[in-house]
Amino acid sequence: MVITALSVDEEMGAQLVEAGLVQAADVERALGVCQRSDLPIGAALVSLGALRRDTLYRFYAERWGCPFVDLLAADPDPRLLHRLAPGDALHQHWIPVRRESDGTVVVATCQEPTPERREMMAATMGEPVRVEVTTFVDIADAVRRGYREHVLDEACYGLWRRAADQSARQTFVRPQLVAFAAVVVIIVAGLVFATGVTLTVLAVAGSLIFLASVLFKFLVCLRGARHEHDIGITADDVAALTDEQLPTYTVLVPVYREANVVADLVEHLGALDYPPEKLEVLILLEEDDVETLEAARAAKPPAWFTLLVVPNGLPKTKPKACNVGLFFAHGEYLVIYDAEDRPDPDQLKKAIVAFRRSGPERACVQAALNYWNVEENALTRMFTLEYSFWFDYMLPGLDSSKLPIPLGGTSNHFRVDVLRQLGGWDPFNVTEDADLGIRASALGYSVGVINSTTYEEANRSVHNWIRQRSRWIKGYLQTVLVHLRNPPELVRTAGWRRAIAFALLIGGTPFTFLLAPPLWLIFFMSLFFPTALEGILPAWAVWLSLANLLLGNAAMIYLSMMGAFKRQRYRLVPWSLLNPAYWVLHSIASYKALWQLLTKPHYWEKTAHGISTVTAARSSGEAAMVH
Amino acid sequence: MASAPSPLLAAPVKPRWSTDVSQRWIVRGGIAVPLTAFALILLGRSGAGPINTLLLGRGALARSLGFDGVRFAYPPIPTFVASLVRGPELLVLAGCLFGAFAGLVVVERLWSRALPLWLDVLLIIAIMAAPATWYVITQDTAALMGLSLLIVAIDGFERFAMEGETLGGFVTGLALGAAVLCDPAAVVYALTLTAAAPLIAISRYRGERGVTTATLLVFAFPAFAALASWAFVEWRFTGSAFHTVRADLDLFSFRGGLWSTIGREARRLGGVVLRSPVFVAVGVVMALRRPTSMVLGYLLPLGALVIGWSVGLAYPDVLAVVLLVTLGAMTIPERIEGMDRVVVAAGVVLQVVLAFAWLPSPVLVQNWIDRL
Repeated sequence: MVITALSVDEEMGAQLVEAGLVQAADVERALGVCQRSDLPIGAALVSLGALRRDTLYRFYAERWGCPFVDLLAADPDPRLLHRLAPGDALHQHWIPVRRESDGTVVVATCQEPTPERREMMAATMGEPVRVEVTTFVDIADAVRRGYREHVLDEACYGLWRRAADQSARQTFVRPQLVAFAAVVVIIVAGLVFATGVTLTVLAVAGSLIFLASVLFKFLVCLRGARHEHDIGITADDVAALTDEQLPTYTVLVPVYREANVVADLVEHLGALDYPPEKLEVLILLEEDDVETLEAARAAKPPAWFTLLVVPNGLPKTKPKACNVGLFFAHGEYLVIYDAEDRPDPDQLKKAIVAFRRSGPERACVQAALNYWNVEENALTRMFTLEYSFWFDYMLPGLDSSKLPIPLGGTSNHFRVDVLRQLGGWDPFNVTEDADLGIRASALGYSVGVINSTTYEEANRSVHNWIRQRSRWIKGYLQTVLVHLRNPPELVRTAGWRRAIAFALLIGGTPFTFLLAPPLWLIFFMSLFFPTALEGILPAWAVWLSLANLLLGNAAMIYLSMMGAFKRQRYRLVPWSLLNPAYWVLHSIASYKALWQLLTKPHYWEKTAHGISTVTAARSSGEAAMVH
Repeated sequence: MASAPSPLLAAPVKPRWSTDVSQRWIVRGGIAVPLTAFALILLGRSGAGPINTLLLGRGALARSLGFDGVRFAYPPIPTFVASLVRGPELLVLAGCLFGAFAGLVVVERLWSRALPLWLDVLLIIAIMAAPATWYVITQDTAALMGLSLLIVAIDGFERFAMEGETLGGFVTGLALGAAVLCDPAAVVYALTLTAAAPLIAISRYRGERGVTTATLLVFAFPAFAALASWAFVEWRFTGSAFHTVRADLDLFSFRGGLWSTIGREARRLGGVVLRSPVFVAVGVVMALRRPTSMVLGYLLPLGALVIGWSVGLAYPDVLAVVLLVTLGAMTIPERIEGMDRVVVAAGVVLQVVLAFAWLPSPVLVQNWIDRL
């Protein structure tokens, strides 16, 4: 079979050379690609950049005796589209285009129109068809335009329609509203009729939640630290993979108003060590973002990059764009990167090894995130400290404890079939990644981590940081509200351990930041106005609050030191002492998040990227400042 | 492409004796049961000594005075335990539980050194058969807790310094942080290991930028945070900090002058070192086989003891000997052979003999032995 297939490719190659479309040397190179993959020579030539895609399909059209149709210039007739599901159009690689005056339906395809195939298309349309040829990219684009409303609707409401209880479209469900109202009434009544007792109960409850959340994080990180020398996937494991063994991989890159970084994106993703013929990079661009679209075109991305325009519509969020990308993805596996990301080149291969080592329940693996502009200013240093402990100790600790892992914003690698089964991302949740990790866990899937890093741009502006962080915290609150709509169900599906871990991690994180200001208030009053507290809180409650605050802050500072030391960012370790000041920013962001949860729950606070003043060439562990 | 430093250190990491958690607990239990049983038998004969009696009294005060009792609660961990229990037996039991944790660490360390079995047995006898050890176990629970945590800290320190295991550094820091809440003298341990930070930075991390400060913080921060937090809480509720320390110890008095004090304590140290031949023998072997910075690191506790005594910390000789012997046992180089093995074996045999023949803190220990 291999010899036959290769003979067909050789013959096709010879014909392309004869037609003057490619050089013989290109065909030789392409045949090499064909040998190590199941790709036909035409696709191999396109992936090598030796042949334009439309030229290839014009050649096919001539060979198959059909006219070529430029679908970019001809929108499919909407009256014909209802006979073919958009998913079938994508996966069967054809789409109805127009009706001729004689009543024949013209369809466009990118695959050889064998008699069986013509018959299948005619049967689907319910009438005779005439075939024209186009590229598969143009079919995908025609599907996007022709089924625009369907794609948009599915991306926005697909999850909600299939499982409304897993969607954050509705922020609060009725029982939650009743419960919150009851709590508020009880607190207000308590403050009016029994002020001291109520304040004591609130202070103690707050202290205990704070303590539980901090201790949980500390213990999980220590567990993660125990595995610091477990090198999950070695260079030898990666080297042992041959190109033939590699599956197709889709890379989703949602970008919005990021014209300034899109050229870097092409460069960084171009450095991925993965055979281009098995790689599909979908740059997800918003319909109204003409500037970025033009910048992306100007960057002249290689053939395996596709610029996919996401239909305009609310909610305008990253997860909605990702859902559109998922709809069009052809890969067996999929990963998300942000525009400014610089993944380790072998990351996709490490993910493949990780998936193959784990069972079918492994839905996703998460790579570590860290920053390349570490020493740009105090904020980037603090941000790096935080990421270092989170991704190097916290997530491995959760992984080894088999607890739910909230995915980080990028570098999450998925099995596409499982991701589709999970319903994709929730476009109404502003930390759709964390939500997806928890949803996967609640439905019996697992999320793991891999020892590979993606370097991102740390936020260097306080204002921008608060915007970003308030979105994350709002998303955590949304995730808590979604998954605690039916606590018994969560316990039943995920188990007690995971349910408690979820509450402590996803619920505990915003709560600790919301609770920090009252605890600091008690601390400072205790320090400067000790008598003022005497009539309000009993001594033991003050003692508990102070002990918690001191213990909690010390523990989290030390975790921060651990993360920096492990990353060998030694110069960052002393900066850990400034964490209490950094957490003040968290608290500000948390209160903003809480306010937005009530007023604009689905509003996506866009983080500006590409604002670093550190140049890419000099950014590294010893990041140098360039002014 | 950005290339940040790899988080993975190149050094091979020795496997722990057992990664199976249940097996480790079984060993701890296996150590704790006979340790406690024998300690209770000895306690039954000798009765509680003055140190544990004082601790129990402070525990009772802390319990009965409410938040005013915070004044008597430093060191808080043993005092908290003492406030919960009604007699010395349970106090000793609590100390033995700490001891069991340290025992597992010593067993692991000896196992990882791959020494001949007879040498392992002799070492364990040198430590566990010594009257000094049992004096500490039955008479000074706070010191036993502090010493146990120090053993955990030393284990972490060695993993950190010699095997490049980041977690080891943090175990050291956390153990020291807990130790200063068990025994004021643990401040000496913390200072000792912290003082080793520059040596580690040189020998292990080749003096990479920032690594000295980073290592220093890793070792010292928990102890500093623990002491500062306690000081704040005690001050907040009583108006003063470290009341018990100030009541028990005559700190920074330097009777006879600074240099005279240091000279006196250095001579005292000589007696302690002579009673610790295991420490001396291992020091000799290290001097021949290890880099100078490591040898200096090994000798640092001696300086810390002199400084601690000079400033007035009450750290009895008996405890100093137990500390040095344990430190020596935990630092024996791996797979020693030939003359090295002879030197260490001689040190161990001498230790067993001296443990009975030449008691440290003879008044304290002999009085205790007389009561048995």
